[in-house]
Amino acid sequence: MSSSLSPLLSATFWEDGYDHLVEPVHQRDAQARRHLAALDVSVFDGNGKRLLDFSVDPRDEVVDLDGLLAGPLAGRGRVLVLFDARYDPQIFPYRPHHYGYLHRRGSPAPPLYYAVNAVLGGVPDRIGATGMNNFETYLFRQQALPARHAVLVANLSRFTTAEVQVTAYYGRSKVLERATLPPKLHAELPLPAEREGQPLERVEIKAPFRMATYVIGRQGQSGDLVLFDHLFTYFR
Amino acid sequence: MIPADALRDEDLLCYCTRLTVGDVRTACKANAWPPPEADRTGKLCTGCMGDLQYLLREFASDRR
Repeated sequence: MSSSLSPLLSATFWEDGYDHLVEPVHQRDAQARRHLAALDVSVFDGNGKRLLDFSVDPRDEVVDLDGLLAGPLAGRGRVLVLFDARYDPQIFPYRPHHYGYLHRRGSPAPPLYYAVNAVLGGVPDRIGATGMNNFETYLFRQQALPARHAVLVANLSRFTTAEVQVTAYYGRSKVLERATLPPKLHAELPLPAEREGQPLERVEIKAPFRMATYVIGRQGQSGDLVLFDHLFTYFR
Repeated sequence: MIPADALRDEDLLCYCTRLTVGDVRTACKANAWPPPEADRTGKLCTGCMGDLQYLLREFASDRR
């Protein structure tokens, strides 16, 4: 792929049994300035092993992720899916995102719409943003969903293992978990619903460099996803 | 040591400054890291910071 175009590397997770659609360009403008030039997809299993590589026609309005992955990856469990996009540089400073639709087939739970987590790129030098992209947080609703929560974290680096710190807050107390993630590995770290009678209020993820991160919630009995949302960069 | 097939010069390293693995290798070989246009490599989205530090160590050891 060309490195003279503006690149963006985003990540999501695919599980069997869900309708999972991704919209590569969320906001097309009439003059096509926000032009997606190329989109490559790579898929990695839970051990970081590369399973699939393919290109998507950048003119496609919707990528049917389940249609592409369900056949070759049946029985594989959850996989990490990377979208390596190249845009016309004029697209910036608007930071492009892919957007996703996720719904367990046959489930009465409502579908989930989410922004695919953009991990590498999207902060061109000329913008000069210097936020702390490797320190992210998520606030839970005060009336929490009746679900089992967890964070999904993936290391998208090529060569470097990352020590990731996940802190869950419950009123004045907190629970700290650590995970060691070699390149392209991902982990699901459960977040207890309460501690000492206090409900889960927020979670923070700290890493030496930016990870792919999502907060998820699964319905108690079925395990169906009822929350799938990426964390947000923390600004003081 | 990185396997040779895992280190391709054309691979993009920094998605913000559009620096490739080959750019880092060339700069290290010339003892000229960072190039003037790449001094913020790794510091913007931070996603490549780990790999950048790894490559700087590897390419420095190549020169010894």
